[in-house]
Amino acid sequence: MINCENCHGPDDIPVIKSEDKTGTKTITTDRSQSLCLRCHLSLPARPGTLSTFPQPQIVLKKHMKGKGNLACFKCHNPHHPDLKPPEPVKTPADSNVNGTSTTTKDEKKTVSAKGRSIYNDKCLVCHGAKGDGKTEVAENLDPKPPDFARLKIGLSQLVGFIANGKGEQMPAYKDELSGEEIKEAAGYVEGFKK
Amino acid sequence: MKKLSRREFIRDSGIALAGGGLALFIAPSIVSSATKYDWTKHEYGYTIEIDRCIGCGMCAKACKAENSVPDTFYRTWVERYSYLKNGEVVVDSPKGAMDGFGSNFKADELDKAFFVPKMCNHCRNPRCVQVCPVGASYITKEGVVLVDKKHCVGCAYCVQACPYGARYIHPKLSTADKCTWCYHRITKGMLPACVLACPRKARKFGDIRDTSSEVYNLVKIHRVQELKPELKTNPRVSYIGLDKEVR
Amino acid sequence: MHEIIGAGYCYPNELHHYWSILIVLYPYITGLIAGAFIISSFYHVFGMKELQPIARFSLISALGFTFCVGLPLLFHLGHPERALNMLFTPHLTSAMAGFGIIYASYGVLLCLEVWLIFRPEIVRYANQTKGVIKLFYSTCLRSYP
Repeated sequence: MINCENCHGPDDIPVIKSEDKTGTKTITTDRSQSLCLRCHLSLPARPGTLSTFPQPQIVLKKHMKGKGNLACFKCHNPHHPDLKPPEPVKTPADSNVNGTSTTTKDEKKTVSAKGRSIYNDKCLVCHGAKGDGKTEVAENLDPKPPDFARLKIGLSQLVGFIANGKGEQMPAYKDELSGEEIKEAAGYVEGFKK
Repeated sequence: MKKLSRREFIRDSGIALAGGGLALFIAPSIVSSATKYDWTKHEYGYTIEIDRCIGCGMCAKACKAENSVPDTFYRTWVERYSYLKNGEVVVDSPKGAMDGFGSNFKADELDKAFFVPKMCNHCRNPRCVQVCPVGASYITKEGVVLVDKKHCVGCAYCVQACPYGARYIHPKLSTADKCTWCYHRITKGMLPACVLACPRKARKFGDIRDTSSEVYNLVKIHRVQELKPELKTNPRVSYIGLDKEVR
Repeated sequence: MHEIIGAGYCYPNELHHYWSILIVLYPYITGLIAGAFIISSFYHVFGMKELQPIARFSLISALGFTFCVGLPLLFHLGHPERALNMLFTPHLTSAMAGFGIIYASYGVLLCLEVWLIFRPEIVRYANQTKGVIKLFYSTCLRSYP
């Protein structure tokens, strides 16, 4: 559906560039949001999911949900044909579901289904299905997410990072997730430790 | 070397000049006939699908960039129709949607709402062509309505006559101006700027004599409407999904 | 400015007005010309003796207004230098071109009427004046003493 002219203007007339009077190549958060939200802001007049031609729309505050005020391209690559985050993939940790352990080696590592679903919903996009932080989205992030297999910290510290965020990129989730949910998610993340 | 007499010199140089002039005269028509655009071989049409439009306004922006449209004038714009729960219909078009739309009503105040892109309809029976006192407004053989800027007097009669509000007087040129379907582009086989800029493919342009074109097929498959049919202007822009309240 | 609240909707291009006071002046002046011409015709053509004192004056005032009726229209045009194209190469489906022809012929008719009614005065001025003005009146008479 999208071609270059939609954002860049017809032929070589740079509709984006013509508005950036500074002439620099960096696109600010405001600029990126205003350009992307031109099409993707949720307005009542825009065709909804029931329409013949539905279109993904967001309400900015809900979409950012505790991630702070980020530029859109921090998570979405506008030049990649597939703008959706990747689908969750089954990992070794997924084989231990609902607290049951199927192998003797992983007896102590029990993984809850709830923890997995919270991780897949909120964390997978940046941290990856294997927790290694090797995702498409992570390529735009600086600093990059760590590899959970080499985690050295304990559960309580993990809970603290999830609740309050860490550094510039990891947002705080204490407003979004309950204490229980954060603990479940932290438990799932600990399951990646080798 | 034989010595030329004056008479012979004049005769020879006359022949050379005549031959060179003839060659210069014929050569351009030989070169360009291969790539010459024949305006009798095309007939253009345009369709707009209301269901696809999201009101981003990139079409208005791209048109302004491509055609240097002056500020506060619009060759194409997008209108938003908001049907309130009390039955009232509110129409707005902030700066012709060149910067997109902001929220005006909340979803629970509205019955329904949608966007309608508008532009010059390039009518088959255009009022603007009829009322031009000097004949500067004319229809090309492909059906595009254009303004001859060398003869336009700037009387604004055509601006008054257009029922769709598509025309304006250019503040610098002091002549009438309007959407030309990017004539400078379509005669080279390219698409108008607004068609290219639409991310939802709501606008389509093509040759309606070409049975494989999108425009021809859309009009064939869908039930199409036109703006203000009671005025008998017979516009070439066909709307799909037009609502009864659209003015 | 672009959202006229409570008053409905206006197409974005139609927020600019082109036909305003200058266009209004034109029918006002043509109304004066037509009215003055009618007053003078009441006497000269229909023989109403009551209007005899005002008849010649109304005729000459109609002529005076005719000289300036085109000025507001000319000022309103984007390209006044091309204005006479409307008379030389008119587009005949246009009402404006048609009225250009009609009012031009009306102006010719008015000049003819003035020429005929004021002949005694023209002869007197042709005899009594000198120089360029004498030439002008002599041309009206088409006789050069």
